[in-house]
Amino acid sequence: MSKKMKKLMAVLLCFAMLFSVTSVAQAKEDTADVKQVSIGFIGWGYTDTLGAAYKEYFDYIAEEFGMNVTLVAGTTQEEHISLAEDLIEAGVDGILAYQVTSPMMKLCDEAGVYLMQFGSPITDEDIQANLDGSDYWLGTSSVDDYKSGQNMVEALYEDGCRNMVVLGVAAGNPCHDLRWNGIMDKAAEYDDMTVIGEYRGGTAAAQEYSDQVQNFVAMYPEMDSIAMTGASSGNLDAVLSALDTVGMTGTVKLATLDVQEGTDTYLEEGSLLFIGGGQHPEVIFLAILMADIIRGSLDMGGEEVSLVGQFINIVGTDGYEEFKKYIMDDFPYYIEELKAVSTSFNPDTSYQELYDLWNSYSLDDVETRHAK
Amino acid sequence: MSKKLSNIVKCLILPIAVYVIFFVFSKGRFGSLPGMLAIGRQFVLYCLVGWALMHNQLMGVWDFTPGAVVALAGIIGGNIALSTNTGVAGLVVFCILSAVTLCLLTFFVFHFLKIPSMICGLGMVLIYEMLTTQLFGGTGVKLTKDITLLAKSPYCYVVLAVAGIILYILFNFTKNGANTRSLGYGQDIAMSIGVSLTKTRLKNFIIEGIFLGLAAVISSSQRGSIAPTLNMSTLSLGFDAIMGVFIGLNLVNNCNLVVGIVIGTFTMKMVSAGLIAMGLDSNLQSVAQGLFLLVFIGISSNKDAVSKYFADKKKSAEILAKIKA
Repeated sequence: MSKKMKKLMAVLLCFAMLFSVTSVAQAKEDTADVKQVSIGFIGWGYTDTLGAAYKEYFDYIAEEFGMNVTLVAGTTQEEHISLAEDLIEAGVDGILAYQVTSPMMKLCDEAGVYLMQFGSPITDEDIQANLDGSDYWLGTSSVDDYKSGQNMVEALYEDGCRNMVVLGVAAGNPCHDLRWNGIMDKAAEYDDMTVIGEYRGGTAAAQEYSDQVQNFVAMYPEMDSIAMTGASSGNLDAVLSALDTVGMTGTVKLATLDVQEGTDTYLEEGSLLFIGGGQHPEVIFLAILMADIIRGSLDMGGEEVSLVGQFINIVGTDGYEEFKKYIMDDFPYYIEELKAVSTSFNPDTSYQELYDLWNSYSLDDVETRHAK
Repeated sequence: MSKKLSNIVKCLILPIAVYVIFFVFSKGRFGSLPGMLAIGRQFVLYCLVGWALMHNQLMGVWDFTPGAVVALAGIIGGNIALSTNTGVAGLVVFCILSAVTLCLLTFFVFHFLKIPSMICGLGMVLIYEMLTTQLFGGTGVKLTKDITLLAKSPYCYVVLAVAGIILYILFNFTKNGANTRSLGYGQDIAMSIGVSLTKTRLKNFIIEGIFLGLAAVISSSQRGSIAPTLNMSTLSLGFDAIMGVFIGLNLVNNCNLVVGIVIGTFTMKMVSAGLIAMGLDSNLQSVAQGLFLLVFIGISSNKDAVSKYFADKKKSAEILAKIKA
């Protein structure tokens, strides 16, 4: 290439770089009706149904709400701490995580970064005591995992099931632990219901569940039901395929949480009796609250945030079509509805209004608001 | 007792002992025909993975990728089979082709970049798991019932039997099998007499790919779907199969390694099922499985030392008796 051409290329590249910088700056300005807030979100992964739903919802609202959301995944407490460090280094204003620990709070305190937990309340008293002492601890949101565990057993019992096997994720996952406890406690309330066996597997336990269900069916012929703490990551298909392999479709009933593709088929053939899901908007409400607090448009006055939501339960085939239409294939809350309860966009609203909107979440509520 | 019969007894002692122990302690819940058939169906997958790892394990190559290869090959092969409407045959062919390709990729990274096998394996696991979340929109694969035939008996046993016969021939009656054994016993010496490390490893990774492809077929058929996975969750499939390979390696003095892996894998699946039959808590199940393996390997690894100790003691006693006399 001649010297002249090289000079021309260099000048063109400079212009291109300048142009891209100014266009990015312009883009930032365009969405900055409010101050841009950077939030780090620590999930367990974004390939399962719930994780993917979180990601999709953040993609839907982030730009409109002036949020830059960084999604990272971790499963152990050590990973959470390490990821919190990385997010703080990356310059986030706040962190949402599903397993908050005292070391994370310390890191956030030192860096002036806000911290919240989603998925479950803080159950450890020592951790709560540490969090209470921090100005950067904002609170939690939770869905009724414990109650949903109980609802699963109740549905099985009312269907006539009496000999139940419980499948779950290994202890240490707060959501699944609450569901597990709900299942066990509810089963214990019924004198004529027995937990004949249990198995707790890894996070991607579909193959293990498939194997163990076949073992349970072979060794416990009295088994008539399974309560499983989570259906995602292929667990639903694995368990129902295993039942099909041993010819127990429709004979052994399954109750679980986290609605998946193909749920309608399983509900129709009778192998799946109860499934709950649709809890993904929880993290959006929490992120909106965090952003409002960071911007200073919402002052909690030292009070801790404590959002409470619920699963949407489907028993039998009733309600699945509506669930699919309004919850799976659409966003249960649209941008305008969410902006109406965000003090950053509607100074006349309040924390209580946001709390009430999320707390009233149900299939009827979404149908009423989004009737098509 | 003839040597052959003695070897058969020594091989079967372990599974028979496990059967009896769990039958007794589960008060008869374990050991029924439906229960053993259920174990049989499960063990097919782990046996195929164990066989896949066999050649490389003998040569000291630790491969942690089986679970990730099974998942990714299942997703690729399953999606292609569904979109081409090629049924069970398509599932088998495309899963095998996918798995062989992935294993060859692992081979190239491991052999030519000279990265230690453990590190290479872990790195490739991360890559393959990431690919499960990226390919086909990150939705994995959901198989229709008509192509999950091979999960059911007797078809899964037919797959196992055919695969077993082919592997037995490859390991015992081919040049590659002999080269694998010689490289396993002494790599430097084998190479000095002209055995090609590159060619042998290449063929072994291809064999591994074929068997992992079959494992992908069985796994996806049993589960009805394969979901994307991350965070090294796929390692557990390889570890479960490796336990069977370890037992097989310890039985190698009494039976062929191919048969030894069958015995080892079936025994581990009996242990897993037996713990369920005993009604053991989930946490204790994992502890019990680990303890079982440690005890078995401990006894097996030290049986020669123990025999020598008693033989020496006997000899000392004989010498002392002669001196006194």
